[in-house]
Amino acid sequence: MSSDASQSPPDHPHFLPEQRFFDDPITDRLLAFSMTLASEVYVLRERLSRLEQHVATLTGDATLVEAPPVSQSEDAVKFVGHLLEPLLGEQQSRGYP
Amino acid sequence: MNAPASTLSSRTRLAEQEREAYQRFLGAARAYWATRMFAGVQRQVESEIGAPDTLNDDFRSRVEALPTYQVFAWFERHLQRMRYSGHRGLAAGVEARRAELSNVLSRPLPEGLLTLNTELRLPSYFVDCDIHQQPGGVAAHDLSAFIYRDAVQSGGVVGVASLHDRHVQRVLERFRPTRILDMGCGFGRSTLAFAKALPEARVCGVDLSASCVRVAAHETPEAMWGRVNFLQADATRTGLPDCSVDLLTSTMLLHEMPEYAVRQLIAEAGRLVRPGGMVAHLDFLPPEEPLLRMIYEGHAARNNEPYLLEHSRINLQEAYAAAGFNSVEISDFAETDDALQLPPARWRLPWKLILAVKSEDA
Repeated sequence: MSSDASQSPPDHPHFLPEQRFFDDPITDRLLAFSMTLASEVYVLRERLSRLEQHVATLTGDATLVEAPPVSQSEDAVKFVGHLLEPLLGEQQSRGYP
Repeated sequence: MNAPASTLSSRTRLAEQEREAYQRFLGAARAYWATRMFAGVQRQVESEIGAPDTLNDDFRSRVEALPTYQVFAWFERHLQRMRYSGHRGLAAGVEARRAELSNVLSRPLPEGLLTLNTELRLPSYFVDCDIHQQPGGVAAHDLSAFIYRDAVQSGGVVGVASLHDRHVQRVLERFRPTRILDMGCGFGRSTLAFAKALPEARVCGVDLSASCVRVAAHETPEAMWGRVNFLQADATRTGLPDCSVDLLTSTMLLHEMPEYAVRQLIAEAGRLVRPGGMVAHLDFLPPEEPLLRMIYEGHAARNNEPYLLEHSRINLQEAYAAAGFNSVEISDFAETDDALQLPPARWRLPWKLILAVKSEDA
């Protein structure tokens, strides 16, 4: 296979500059950093949950497992809601006028 | 030092479990983005700006200054990046399963099910941009289609399982074709949906990507062998015989092509569809409502869709009339039962069904 360069837009760059959504590009990057960190926390939560279930099975101690058990998808939804809600800027209590 | 096979296996299994967890996190974040965050943008725009009759520069700049909109736009861009890229991304996941997936592709296929064209010149619009932010695009290597398939199957705006079945049903309400050509078939979901619904039909899927048509061929159930085939070809010049199909269809193809290529595709449709036959494109057209239109237009850059708006600039009535079609209908398409409710409960792509019927005397 080859590419038909004759139909290429002139001087089309293959990698465009970073897309920015906030006034300060550091904000864009710090949000990316935070989301990467949050994703790793979630990955560890699932890993810990598997270990707890394994230990509970081995020991017969059901108190080691979160009750009531939720599915992984439900847990992800709860975790993400807790994580992202502050980004909406919506107040949780009535303020001083 | 190499790890023992058993240790390596358990490490690989753990890595896959962690990748699944990571993708689950991203899936939940995308759902939150499309619902709660989208609703937050709507509320903030309504309370602080209001709604103009049409999208204009003043409205656009005021919306872009809203913090919730900035966050919403950031998430669209970066959740997609995270989904595909990085060591827990879908591209790395497919690479980790290279041996298993290569084995799938090495299984023998019956003659005629798959036709590859190693001489095909891929148009630059197809290879110069990593559409959807998939690194390298869907034709980068032999397993690229698996990455795309994993992305679609992990949910999101195009991952609705019933999408293709609903498209088929909308077509069958009007027409029962026996020779079907599916342009830009990807890894075959749309093609196989037609083949499943029409057991008497012959269905051909066409795509530029060798990886896509190979995966599509290998995913074709044996019961369909003999009446389904996949062809690596350019949809704008397929090389197939004149008037050889009753129905030419596509799903999410037009918006990936520049205007000149869409015009070529329409001309090719005029050549391939028999008199009285039909074209059915399932695609997107920009919404009228200003905020939805603004978000849709921004989706082009944020999701690496450089040609998203080009086909909407074509007068489809005129273009299809010039290709021998005597009627063009454009209607809303609901990918789910509640997709068209107003106000929208979630951000969605503005699906449209574009039907064109070729003149009997063309």
